[in-house]
Amino acid sequence: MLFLKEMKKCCFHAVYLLFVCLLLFEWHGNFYGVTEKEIATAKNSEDSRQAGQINGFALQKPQEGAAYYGSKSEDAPDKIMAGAADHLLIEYRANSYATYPFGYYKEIRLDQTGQKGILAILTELTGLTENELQNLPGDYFPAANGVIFHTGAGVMEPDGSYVLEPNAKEEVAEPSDDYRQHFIPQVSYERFWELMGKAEDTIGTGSYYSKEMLEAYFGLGEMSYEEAVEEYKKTIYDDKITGAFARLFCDYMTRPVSLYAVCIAAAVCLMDQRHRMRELAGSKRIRTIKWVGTRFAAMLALVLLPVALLSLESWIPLMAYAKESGLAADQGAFLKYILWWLLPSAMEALALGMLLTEWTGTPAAIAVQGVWWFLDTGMTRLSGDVKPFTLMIRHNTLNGSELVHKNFAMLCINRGILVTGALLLLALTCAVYEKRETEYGGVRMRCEMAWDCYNGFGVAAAGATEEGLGGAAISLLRYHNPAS
Amino acid sequence: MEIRIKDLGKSYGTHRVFDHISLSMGTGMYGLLGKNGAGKTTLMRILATLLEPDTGSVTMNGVDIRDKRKIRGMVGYLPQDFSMYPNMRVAEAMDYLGVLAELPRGVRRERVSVLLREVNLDSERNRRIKELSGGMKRRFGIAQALLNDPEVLIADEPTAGLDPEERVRFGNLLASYARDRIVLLSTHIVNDIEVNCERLAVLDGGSILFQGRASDLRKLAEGKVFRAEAAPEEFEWIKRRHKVIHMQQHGNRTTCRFLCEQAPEETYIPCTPTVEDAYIRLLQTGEGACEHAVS
Repeated sequence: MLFLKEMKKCCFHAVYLLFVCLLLFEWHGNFYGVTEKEIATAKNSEDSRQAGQINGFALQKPQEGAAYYGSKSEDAPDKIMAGAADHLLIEYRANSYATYPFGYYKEIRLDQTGQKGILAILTELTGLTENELQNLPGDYFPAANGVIFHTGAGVMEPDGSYVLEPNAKEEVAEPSDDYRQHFIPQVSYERFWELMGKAEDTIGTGSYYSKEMLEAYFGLGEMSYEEAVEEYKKTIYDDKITGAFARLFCDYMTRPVSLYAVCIAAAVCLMDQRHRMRELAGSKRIRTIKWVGTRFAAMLALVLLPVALLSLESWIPLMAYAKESGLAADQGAFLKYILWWLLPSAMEALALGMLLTEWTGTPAAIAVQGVWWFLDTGMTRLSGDVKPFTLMIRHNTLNGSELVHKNFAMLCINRGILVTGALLLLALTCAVYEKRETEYGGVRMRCEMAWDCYNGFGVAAAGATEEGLGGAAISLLRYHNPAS
Repeated sequence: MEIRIKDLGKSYGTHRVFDHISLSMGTGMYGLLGKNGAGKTTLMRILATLLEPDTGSVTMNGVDIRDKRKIRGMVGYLPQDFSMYPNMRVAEAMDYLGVLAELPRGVRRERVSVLLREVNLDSERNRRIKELSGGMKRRFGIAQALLNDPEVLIADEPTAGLDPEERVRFGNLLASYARDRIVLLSTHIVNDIEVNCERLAVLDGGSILFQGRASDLRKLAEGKVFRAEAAPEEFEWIKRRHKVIHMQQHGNRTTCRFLCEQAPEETYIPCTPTVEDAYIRLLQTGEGACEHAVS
């Protein structure tokens, strides 16, 4: 009964309605229509895969002899070194280096010494002089060099689309070729990483020249037919269709849930304080743990309810597609991933919101959670990057179920830490709630106590100056107990 | 039913609200008088288990105040300055507080209906809390405090902000509940106590100045209250020497009522003291009497 009453109270709160709107906005901008598109592509017998396309063929069975089967990450030293040199040269010429400290873009401009350092790296890597580097042949680097495309003239297609022609066919020059005409690394792979380390030191944290970034952006290779079939089988049989979509759905939902949920907790607790509910409710028989726990559960249900409803937009067509295609689908995949990936993050955000709001009497929790969310967003890669204190599980692809298997233990540890942390925060909220004295509550009480301590130390210090430690003790005693 | 308070002490940081106070209360209406900031609300909040005392003990019918759940089942509390979710409707708010009081559904529904009728809010049951007048809010307060049919009803400044008619109605309402339970009424309006309470305690400067019957408090001021009709110069002289309780201007003469410890000049007329006179004298002199010593 209390659970329903708490839910009713929260669900008409302006902050909750705003949360639902923001959730809808995020969902509509990122995930809405993805499932329909995948199903439509899968139903289309003609293979319409294109290079650079990330989504659109998770459900489509690869057809042998197709021009392209998708991309994959691989440790290809030649490609990585070519991409790194190409990118570093572009940035050196413009003296504009992109960095992503904490995941957010920041442009770096180097002074003369820094530019000289980068030039030295490029010279050693390519074996070319500064003058030669400034006047490279058009096809020195491969036309498709990782994420860099050296384009030539454009061609207007009959359907109205405009296609850019590459300067040259994608290729990595043979070692026997002239290093002045085509990029041929002049250093070993080990020395290359040392040089990239120097570049990273010169430019700053989060540049393109860290191992992770270079591998992610330039260590891309094309999938073979067999690999594409293997990937398809993983989606159809391992993930049972819905699992892949549930992961991507949760990836998009985890960001608003982990951030905005804290606002709901703060708003509800502040509403209690504003209306001085502590006076009426605190004198009632209900146990604090029951009241706080029920309120927490009600808010959690309200946070996850719209998420669960939004998942139906993907779940319903997927189930219909599975039935049509005679494939087995995991009916509970969305629910499983919501409970496994989103629930702990939402629990943590709500518990932190309740604790800090009850403790300080201010919406400080929003700032604290915001900082954590911001740092977590910046420091966590888009897929398969889980650490013990990662707030949000990212998996920004329909593929990659192997990443979940690979990181399963860490995922469990991480979610376990968040759930345990949330329960601890909740227990602390109960303790704060029990101890909270409304009249002198919140920040005011703590400020007075801090001021009191400060004064006490001042008095003690004065006593110590005059009569040593004994004097300090007596002064402090007299200060806190004037009668003594 | 009995409340026993022994050697109770409470401080906020270095500010001592009260120290070693002892009180005993039985069934009936009991008044707690004191200036603003005397510690009445703190004492009430301790009795309502919203605050924990630093020292001393409180028992209600032998149940220690630290057994919060049991005490909360026995106590109904009407805070001085309470509020409720403004958009909730009266009956809905009562039901919500009934859930917090852990009343079973059937009992809750019945109690809500009965209490809203008793406090004359039945016709307002579907009005939002924010639409209630000050008097209605106070009546809502008393109704919610009685939800669990408490043995002890604690009302902190319940008549503050009410018009005279509402104050009388409210006092009578509280008095009607005092037949078979303890109703503890805290106020700084002496008249409320004088009209409704048989026994009272006066709290000042962190200690109990007086506890006993209202008539005994009045006796303490016998022979100490006088009336005079004075010219301006004489009135100024009275004001300098005595504590003036009331004054009324009649042209250039002032009729005043004042406290005087020793019999003054014969021109001043002795008056029968009221509880208010005695209370003011008590605060001025600090000379009180404590009827019961809690052992």
